[in-house]
Amino acid sequence: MSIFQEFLESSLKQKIKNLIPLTGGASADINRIILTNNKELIVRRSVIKDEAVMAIPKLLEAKIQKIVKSFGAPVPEIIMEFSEADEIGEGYIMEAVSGETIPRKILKNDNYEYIRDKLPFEIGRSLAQIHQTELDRLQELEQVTFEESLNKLFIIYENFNQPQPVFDLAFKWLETRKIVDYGKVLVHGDFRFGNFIISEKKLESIIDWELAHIGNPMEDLGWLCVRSWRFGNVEKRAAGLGDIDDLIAGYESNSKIKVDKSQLDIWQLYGSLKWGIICMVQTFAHLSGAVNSLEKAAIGRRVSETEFDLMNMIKNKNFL
Amino acid sequence: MNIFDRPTSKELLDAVLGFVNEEIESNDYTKDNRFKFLIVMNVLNIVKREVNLGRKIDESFFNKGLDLLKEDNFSVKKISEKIRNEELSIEDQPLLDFLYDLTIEKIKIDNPKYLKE
Repeated sequence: MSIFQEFLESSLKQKIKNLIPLTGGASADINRIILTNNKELIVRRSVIKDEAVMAIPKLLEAKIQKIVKSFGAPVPEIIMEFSEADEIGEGYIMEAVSGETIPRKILKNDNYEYIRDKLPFEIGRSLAQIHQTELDRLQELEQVTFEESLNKLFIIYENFNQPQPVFDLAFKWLETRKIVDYGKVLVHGDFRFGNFIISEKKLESIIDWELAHIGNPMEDLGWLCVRSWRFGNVEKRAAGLGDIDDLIAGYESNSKIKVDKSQLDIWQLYGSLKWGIICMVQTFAHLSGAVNSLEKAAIGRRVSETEFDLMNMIKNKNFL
Repeated sequence: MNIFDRPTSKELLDAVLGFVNEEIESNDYTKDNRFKFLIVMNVLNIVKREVNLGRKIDESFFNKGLDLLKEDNFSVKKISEKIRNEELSIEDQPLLDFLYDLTIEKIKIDNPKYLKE
């Protein structure tokens, strides 16, 4: 039995029947644990796999989830937090919410037919709830303006010394846009299909808060609309599920903010650029020798997908 | 001229692709390993398309790039620099047409399905 499992059993005062590693993000080691009473839990803890990690500390992630839940947004309940030395690291245990996270299953399988049409509204409404989280207790989160985000992104891109003219065009295009200030909110930072737990009845939970920060509310809405998260349902701009009108209606039903669609366009374009540069970050982690990974090598060739999306938006004014 | 014997590099690639394609169907591997085989197939298909079409696309865009920049030499780096320095405007239609065509050719190599989705 591993030291990690022993630690979990001793902390939970229960034996673990099964510990199943799940696919994690760049900065998280995620495991599903099944206790001897068949109760299931999720453990997320820090692990640095490559150099380009932008994630917040795991204990801060847990804190955000607890605060957001207290404001009524759907997130898993935190059971326990830990901060240990050596190989155990820092992390937390949360409830394992039942449901599906795999976008293609939700988009294609018959059993999600009932909920599919309702999801854009429901996702919009839940996001508005998250954006109303009081920020007093989240002072340690980074606050970033659009200009700062764009500058940071450019520095990352420039450091690779691999010029992509389409990215340079997109940076210039974004620099010339007028950004509406909706006030500062808690931004999830990776609000997209894949980070939603969906049941046949409703949106059960929003997970993966490792990129949370304080910023412009349109960042989350724009990121959700990036074509890369539509999983083939290109015509359905809201996460491949439906029209953005339903998403906006859901958001506005629970917020004083009125969404300007032209702002959504700008933030979606920013999102495509950001995803393209994240693909570069991943592939250069492999190319630099920091990690040896087939997946990271291959993702470098997904940059052209984001270039195609960016040109469609800039040249053809087509945001679908 | 080619000093190398058959199988050619293209034929070798096809042999590897055929092997991996058969292995994916096998039940000898875990779900995770089969997923990795799919990535291998994907990567090999990119290489195959680039081996077949890459040089022709490169030459074509070199000439188009010379026309766009009206200079003696061309590189994508030069275009990036000119956009950054605002020597090329983001409203410049020939630039937009050039970059759009370039992305179409790149994606035909990297993921042609993306154009049809």
